[in-house]
Amino acid sequence: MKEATRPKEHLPQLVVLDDISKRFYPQGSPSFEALSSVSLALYQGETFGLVGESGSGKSTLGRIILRLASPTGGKVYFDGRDVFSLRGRALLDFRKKAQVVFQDPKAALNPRMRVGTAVEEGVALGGIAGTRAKNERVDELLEHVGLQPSHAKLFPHELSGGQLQRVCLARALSPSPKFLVLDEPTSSLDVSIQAQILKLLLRLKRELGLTYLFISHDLAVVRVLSDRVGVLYKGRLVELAPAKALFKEPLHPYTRALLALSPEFWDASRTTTLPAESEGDAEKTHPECAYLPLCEEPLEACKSRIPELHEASPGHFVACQPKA
Amino acid sequence: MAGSRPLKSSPLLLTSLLFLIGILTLAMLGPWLSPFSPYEIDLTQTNLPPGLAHPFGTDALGRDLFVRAWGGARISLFVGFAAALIDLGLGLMLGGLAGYIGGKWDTAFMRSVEVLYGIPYIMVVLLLAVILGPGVFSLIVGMTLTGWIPMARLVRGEVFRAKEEDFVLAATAMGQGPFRILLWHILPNVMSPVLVALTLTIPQAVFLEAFLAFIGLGVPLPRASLGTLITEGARESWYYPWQLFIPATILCSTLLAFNTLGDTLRDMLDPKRGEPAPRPLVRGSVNIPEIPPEKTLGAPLLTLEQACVRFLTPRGELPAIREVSLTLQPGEMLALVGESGSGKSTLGRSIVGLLPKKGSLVSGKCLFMGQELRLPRLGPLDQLGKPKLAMVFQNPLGSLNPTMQAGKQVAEALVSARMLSWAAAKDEALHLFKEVGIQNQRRCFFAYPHELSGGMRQRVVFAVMLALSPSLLIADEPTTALDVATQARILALLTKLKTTRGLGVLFITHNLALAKGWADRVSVLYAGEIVEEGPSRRLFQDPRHPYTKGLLDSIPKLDADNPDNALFALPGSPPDPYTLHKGCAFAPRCPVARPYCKDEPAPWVTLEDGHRARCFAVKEALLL
Amino acid sequence: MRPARSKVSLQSRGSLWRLFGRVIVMLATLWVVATFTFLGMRLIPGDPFSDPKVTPQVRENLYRKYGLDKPLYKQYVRYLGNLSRLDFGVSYVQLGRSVNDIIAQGFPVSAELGLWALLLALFWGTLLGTLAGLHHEGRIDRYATFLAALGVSVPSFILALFFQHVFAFRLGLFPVAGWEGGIARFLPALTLSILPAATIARLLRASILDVLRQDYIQTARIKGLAHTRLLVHHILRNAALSVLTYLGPMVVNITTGSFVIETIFNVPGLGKHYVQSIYDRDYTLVMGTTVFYAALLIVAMFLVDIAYGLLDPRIRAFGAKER
Repeated sequence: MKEATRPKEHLPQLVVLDDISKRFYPQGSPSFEALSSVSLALYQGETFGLVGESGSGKSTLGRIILRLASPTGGKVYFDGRDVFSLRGRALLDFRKKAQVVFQDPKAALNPRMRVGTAVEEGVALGGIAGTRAKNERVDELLEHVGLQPSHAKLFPHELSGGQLQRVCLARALSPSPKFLVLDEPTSSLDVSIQAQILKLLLRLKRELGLTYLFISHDLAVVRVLSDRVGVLYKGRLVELAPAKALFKEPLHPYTRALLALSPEFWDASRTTTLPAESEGDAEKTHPECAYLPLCEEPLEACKSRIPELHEASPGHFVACQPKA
Repeated sequence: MAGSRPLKSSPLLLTSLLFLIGILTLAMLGPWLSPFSPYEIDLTQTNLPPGLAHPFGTDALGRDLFVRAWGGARISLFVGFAAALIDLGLGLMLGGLAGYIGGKWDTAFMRSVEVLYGIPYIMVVLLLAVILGPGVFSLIVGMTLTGWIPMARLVRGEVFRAKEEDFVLAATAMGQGPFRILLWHILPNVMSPVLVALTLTIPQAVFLEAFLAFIGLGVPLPRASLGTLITEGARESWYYPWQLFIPATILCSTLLAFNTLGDTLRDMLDPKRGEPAPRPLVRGSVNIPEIPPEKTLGAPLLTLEQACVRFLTPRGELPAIREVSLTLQPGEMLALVGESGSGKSTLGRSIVGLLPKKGSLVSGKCLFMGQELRLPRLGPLDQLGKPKLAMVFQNPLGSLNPTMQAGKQVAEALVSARMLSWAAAKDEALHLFKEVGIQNQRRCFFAYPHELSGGMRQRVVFAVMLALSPSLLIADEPTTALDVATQARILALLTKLKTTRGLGVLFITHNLALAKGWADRVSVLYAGEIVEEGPSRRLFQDPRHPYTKGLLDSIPKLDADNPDNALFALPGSPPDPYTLHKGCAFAPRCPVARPYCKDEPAPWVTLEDGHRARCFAVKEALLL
Repeated sequence: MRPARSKVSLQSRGSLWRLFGRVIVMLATLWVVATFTFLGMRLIPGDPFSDPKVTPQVRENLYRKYGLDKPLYKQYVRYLGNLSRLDFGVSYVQLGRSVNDIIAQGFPVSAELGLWALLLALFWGTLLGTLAGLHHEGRIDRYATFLAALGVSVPSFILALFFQHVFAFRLGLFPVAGWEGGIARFLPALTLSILPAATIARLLRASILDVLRQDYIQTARIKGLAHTRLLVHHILRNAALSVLTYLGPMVVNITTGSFVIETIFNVPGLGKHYVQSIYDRDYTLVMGTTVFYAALLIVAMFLVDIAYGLLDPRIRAFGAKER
């Protein structure tokens, strides 16, 4: 594991990503690297926000942690065990402990299965047997996420988007996990519903002592929920810092541009120069910083090597040449 | 989904199903309904016309055609069902496994299947019939030898797609076993297209059997399928037409019923069904007269008064827009803000005249450049020569014709709207590309839309619209499909065009922050009604309507020290539009609702600077 | 002036590879058919020369002549060699008559009939499909849809008998059968075109409905284009792409349809000879012609597939549609 991201606090680490890479080979077009050497650690009980634009690889990373996709290189450790070497009972145990909530709750629920059954599947896997006990647990879970037991009888198309996302949460909680990957859980919802789900997530975390990986492109939401934030750009972790520090003092030019351009942070009094738009990707012959074409203040060194994460201030890592 | 609903809603489905059940019953029972044997030759009774004793008449050997016809139908249908079911079984098993396992096995499977798939199906059946000799067995073997391949490819494709669905991933993450996932989560969701394919495979096999019978490779005598009977009847059809007519009718109507059943099922199971397709070639002109410049001076560009749009749906009347009034000045950007289902897109489309013709009821008044546009504005815009309205949609890739070069799409608009020659239009198109901020205009001119990036595509769409030299641009979520940096660039472009061209912009968005950052004025839409409007800065600094307040509070606050304080959640969810009552639609969720809010329409309260809100509470607060 | 020159060269190299792959698959398909036929020929009941009237000496000579005395693998190699020289074999029943003779005699006629049918099918199909699509759920749509459903449900031989009965026997508008003069070509070509026309109409209608839902049609309408330009350049050009995938199967439909149409209308084409040889149980002739037909269709479908790739700009560039 790289020195730069080794945990320095006393909290135990729950998830450790060591040098994760993922290459895709789509048919009929050239292969591309969705993730390049991503290393980070998630501490028990924290909410780690992962920020990036579409195509930055943030969802792929979430899937790799859950062993829903396999990396081309690198290792994932959960509770100190290599996730991709788990077999049989150990794998099942991992599945119970690590759960997921997706962006589009409509797609995340089997359209031909009653929502109660969907939750019950997880309850059964969580080790509760007997119809009575299972039903009680399903009702309890539904109430926990702010639904009524009567909702269990409905099919997904009979519920609204916000209600469906609550069902997805209930399902994710059904095997009593300790870690949740939240993959843009509110971006398909309306603003007024989004806040309800976010509040619910905060409450659940507090009550159940969960650890979250919160993936989002919405900086405002990440800012509010996260303890620490990682910024992904074209498959690379370019900045990693405690949330407050990152939003107060972003170090990477990409993070700065992202903050400046996000409407929530838009400040009419401050004129921001927009970085030029690339009209097509030029083919690269030698390694260079992926952000170089858009960077406001590029250095000569950026053209010859890919910058690595280094600790700029305690706990604040950035992958950019230090300005001399 | 409820099982009985599709039957009730489609008379065609019901009819074809009942008809097929009838044919099947007769094919099963027919031979017992008549005292004659299909093979019994009676040379005293040859070529009788249909009558009481022989309902379908007799053939040249005096055999009763009624029993022979239904016996023939039984053989034909048996071949059809047997072939289709074997195809289904093999297709589900092999296609399902290949799709589910994936990887190298799948590739190997697909490659070998591709080789077999190239052999024309009918030639395989012919070869088999020649090699094994004609017969039911060789027919079915021939039909299924490669017949399962299309089914397997279909199943494989569907399983492949379903495997990547979030709900299957969620089940995997849950630790469900592969068999349970395949059986409970994947297969039920791939069965619809498979069912349709099955329904269409049966008639194909019946058809093929008849075809083979006609060229002498059908079921051997003395047994006779419908194809055999038709072939026999064809010989004497001049003298005894019923010998051809009856079996031919049974065959054709059965095939028709199967095909209709398949088609209806496919339409019904099509996820895109229900979206009404707007009709294109309806001639209905909207006259947008040339207006002398002095007349438009100072007058608003667009005025809507009491605009209402209702859709007729199977559930009843859906009020999408309820009495919306607004004005837009030249050179002004008005943001129409609302959540999904608030009717903001419908409003934009109704102004440009893009609502589906069927089932839309439009009323109210729409003044554009001082002239009344008749609502309902349906059918295409007859903008020839004087286009003043333009619209940009959310998805730039979908807004451009995929098979036409980007530049040509701009030039085409110039030719049609400004009567330019193609050569002049090309030059002008390059200028427009420059105006919308495209660096390499020539390259972009010859590129197809899919070759451009998302931001570039949206710029091309803007160029297309500017080709119309519009006075009003309706931008329906123009940046929602783009990332933040491109979003900011596109909005900067929109602002630039607004100033340089004096363009009125109706900016439709769900994003309050965007409206706050870019719009001059804002109208907040809730359940098809405007609840508050005013200058952007004033409205966001001092929101009055409880809905606007709640919406603004729902945006996470960045300066709060405690995450719980950073979030305010508006309770409840938007109302069901079918059950709206006379009063304020927001009343059930409103923290300051009065008892009478639900029953009486809320009054408009005018504040300063054109800031207005529609609320009892605001009015009462003002009176205090 | 294609955009991004360097990319194009990369892409065209990719599409060359794809073309190479498709050729390999096509050759494999042809090989499978040939092998299948060769083995099938050994399975046909009875030896072609087991007729008791043939003396053992003559039989032996015949065996030597056709190479049937050689080991099986040698026969197989010889058979493949013949096929690769486009020699489709001979009749073992009628000495001296070869498949190539029959092809040379009948194929030009069949090809002409097929071409007429193809043109008619494209015309009817496009007309019917466009009308139905543009008048969705109107009366015209309902009639057109019903006609098209009928067209795919009525087997061509029934249709042929019906047309012959009505237009030739009863009304006397056309000759009952034969291939003399232009007017005789009409009924067979019309009959043969019905199934492909109906299929085209159904595909085109569905495809037009799909295109009409797209935003680019709305964009084109906002542009205020003339109706014909909207229809041809925006609606039909995109809708036709999905119909192109049917061109391969259409060639198959027209070819197999010609078997019965030529028989019923007594057209001296390859299809009629083929059916005749089936009736005569002249198995080697049947097999030879079947292999020819199979090869013809496999190559035709291959060419159509390549043409389709060239026509859709999205496929042209990337080899796969963006989804």
